[in-house]
Amino acid sequence: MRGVGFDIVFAEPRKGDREFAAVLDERAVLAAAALDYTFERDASYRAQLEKNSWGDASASASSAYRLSDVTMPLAQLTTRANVGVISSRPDRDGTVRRVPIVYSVYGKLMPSIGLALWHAGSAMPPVIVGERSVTVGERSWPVSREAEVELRYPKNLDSLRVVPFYQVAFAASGVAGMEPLAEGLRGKRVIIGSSSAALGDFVQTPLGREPGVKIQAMTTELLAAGQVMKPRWLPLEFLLTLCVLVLVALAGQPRWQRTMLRQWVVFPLVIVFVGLFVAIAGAYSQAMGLLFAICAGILAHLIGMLFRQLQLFRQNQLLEMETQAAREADRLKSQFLSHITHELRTPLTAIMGFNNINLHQDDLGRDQRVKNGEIVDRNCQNMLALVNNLLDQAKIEAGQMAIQRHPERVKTVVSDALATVEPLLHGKPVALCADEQGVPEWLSMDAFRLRQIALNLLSNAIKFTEKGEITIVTTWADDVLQLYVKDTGPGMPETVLQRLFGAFQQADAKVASTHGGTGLGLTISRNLARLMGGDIEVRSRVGEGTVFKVTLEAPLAEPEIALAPGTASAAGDVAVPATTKAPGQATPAALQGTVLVAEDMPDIRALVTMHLKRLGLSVLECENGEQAIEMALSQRPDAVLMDMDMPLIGGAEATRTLRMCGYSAPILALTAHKGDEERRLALAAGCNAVLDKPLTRGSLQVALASALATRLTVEEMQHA
Amino acid sequence: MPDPIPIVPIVVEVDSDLEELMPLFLEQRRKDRATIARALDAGDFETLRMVGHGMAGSGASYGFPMITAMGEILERAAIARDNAETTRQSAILADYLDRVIVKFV
Repeated sequence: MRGVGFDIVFAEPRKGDREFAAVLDERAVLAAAALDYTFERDASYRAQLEKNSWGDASASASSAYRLSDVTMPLAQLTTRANVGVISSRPDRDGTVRRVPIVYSVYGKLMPSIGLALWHAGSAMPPVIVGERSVTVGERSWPVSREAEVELRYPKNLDSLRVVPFYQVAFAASGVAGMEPLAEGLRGKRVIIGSSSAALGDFVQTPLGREPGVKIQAMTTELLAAGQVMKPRWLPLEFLLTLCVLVLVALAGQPRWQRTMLRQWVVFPLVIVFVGLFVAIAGAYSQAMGLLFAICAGILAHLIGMLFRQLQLFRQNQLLEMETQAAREADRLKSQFLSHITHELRTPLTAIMGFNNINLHQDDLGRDQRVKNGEIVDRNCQNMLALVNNLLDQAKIEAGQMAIQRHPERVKTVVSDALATVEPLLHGKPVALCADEQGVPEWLSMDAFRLRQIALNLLSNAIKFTEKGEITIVTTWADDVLQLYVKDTGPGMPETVLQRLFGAFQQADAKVASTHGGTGLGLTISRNLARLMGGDIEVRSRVGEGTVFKVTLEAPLAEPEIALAPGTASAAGDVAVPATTKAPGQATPAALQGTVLVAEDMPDIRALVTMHLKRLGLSVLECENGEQAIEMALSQRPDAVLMDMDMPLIGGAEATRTLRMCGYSAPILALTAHKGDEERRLALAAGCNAVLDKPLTRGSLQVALASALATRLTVEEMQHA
Repeated sequence: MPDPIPIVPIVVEVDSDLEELMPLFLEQRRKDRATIARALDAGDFETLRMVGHGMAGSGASYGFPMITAMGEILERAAIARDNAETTRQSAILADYLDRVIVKFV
């Protein structure tokens, strides 16, 4: 072996010392324990110290690590063997990172056990303890002012072999079977000591708890290999730290923060520079305690800033998107206002212009005056439709559009819608057809809104279809009603289909100027369909016509003694002038039954009476709610037309009273108010449907036909 | 002395079915005119509202949408207790009734 160190203090005499002393030679190093206090030492101790020292400490340029005293091994053991000092100097956190390699004891230089073992067996060279290095012969190690070396702990500390003492003894004694170990020990330095955890022979290192003997062995190896760090040098650390701080400060300048790209380039660059400093320090074995701490802090800060920047970037993106959305909404609003203003101004101009002509031109002639009047009337209808659409759209957007489901008949809705749009054909060679496939008689749905959708799709089809046919097909399956509107019009390209349902979108500017409209109809229709648990789809090809498919949730319903509000109310979408003979009205089918007309206005009462009589009905008349209650209960008419706004007892109160008295025949409210509130009050009072004024024979016929048919059906069911 | 402003008649074509009821209708409107005048003097907005409501309900039913429009405006003005508007509508109604000529077709 090249040398043997004993990490054991043989201070007390024990049996076998003579034999032990006999085998110790220059290659052996015995431990001397560092003490923090001073003893009174005699001449023999000082002589032993002098013999085993590496010279006078006062001759050094710098002071070695000063010890108050050391416990020397027995003098008889150190006749030929060397002495090395063992001490442990942990940092404040209890971790050993550096060890002194030369000590000053009573003015004498004493090597550490590691240094002594490294040198064991060699002639004593000159030893120079400088300010920043310790030189022994031709080897030099960087040290601190107290002659400490910074240990560069190897990651493979476990590779330092630890074997039981008896194996070493057997191997050294040539015991058979121990040859491999004996071979492995050849030329090596060996440290012998305790590695007992029970005896507290462990120290804390950056790599974990390790036995002291292993640390001594490692120190010897590191000294031999020169793997020690230059001790921390505060001026250098301050300088480098300052550089890092300046870099970070520069990177934080607003000019480097303007764009996300710059931020994402500059901060990683700073991190790279910091890493570079650390790497260079490592390459030159320069310990950098303060720099490491600050760099770690800055690094953590930079990473935090990067995440913060990322968060800000995302927030900015969100804000940018919101801003764009707001701009787009503003643009659409402006476009909408411009469009609506145009749409309102155009009919208004026509109304005012033609009305002015009719008012002030005496020589116009009847025919021209009538034509002008028709133009005015048409424009009024357009404006009304526009306003109704806008109100519907506003209601839908505000979430105030309520769907009211009642037992309804799809057949009635479809026939009513077809009759309503028929006049729009204006003699075009287009056939209006209806086909019904397996639709139950009564379904639970909002007939008023279904009619609105059907009217919209049909009127659109009529607008664009010049010849051929328009078919409305209804089917039903699994509680879903499907309504198709097919036309043989020009069809639409894909680009138009994609934006067909957008609010205020029309096929193109030409369509808007040719056919008018607000571009709201399909939007409203789709929203209504969705409110009813369905949707609208469109299929179209240029030259092959168009098919709109409406799906709605419509479960089966039991028939009620009720009218479909949508079928009874002719108001809303299409107003039919009193003098216009709507389709189907020219030869009204005769109705049977007795109807009570409760109306305070004599002219209206007379008008309604006349219409009803011509429809074949018997009529009872009264002029206030009180009379209505009395006559309805005493004469039991088949239906009641109840004006809502009458003196004494109003229509709503009279209806409520009648219902409370068990009067079950249909009561139809008559009102000149077009608001939903009036309609709601009438229905809440017990009316089956609401008829808006102006009243026409057609609207009365449709409403009463349904009412009387319903009554008949229910009575038949009751009899059955 | 300037020439008097000629009265331009307003011809309203009405379905001949309504011919027998027309006198009643027109008589009712003349009554309305008188009622409105009295109500205006008395500041009776409730009566004005009821008359307006009646006109709104019956006008278009007889083929006179102008009367319905006037009635609606009058009703709203009465609810709002807008004296100027009710007065104006009263004048318009009087003028209209003076000029209207019914033609049955």
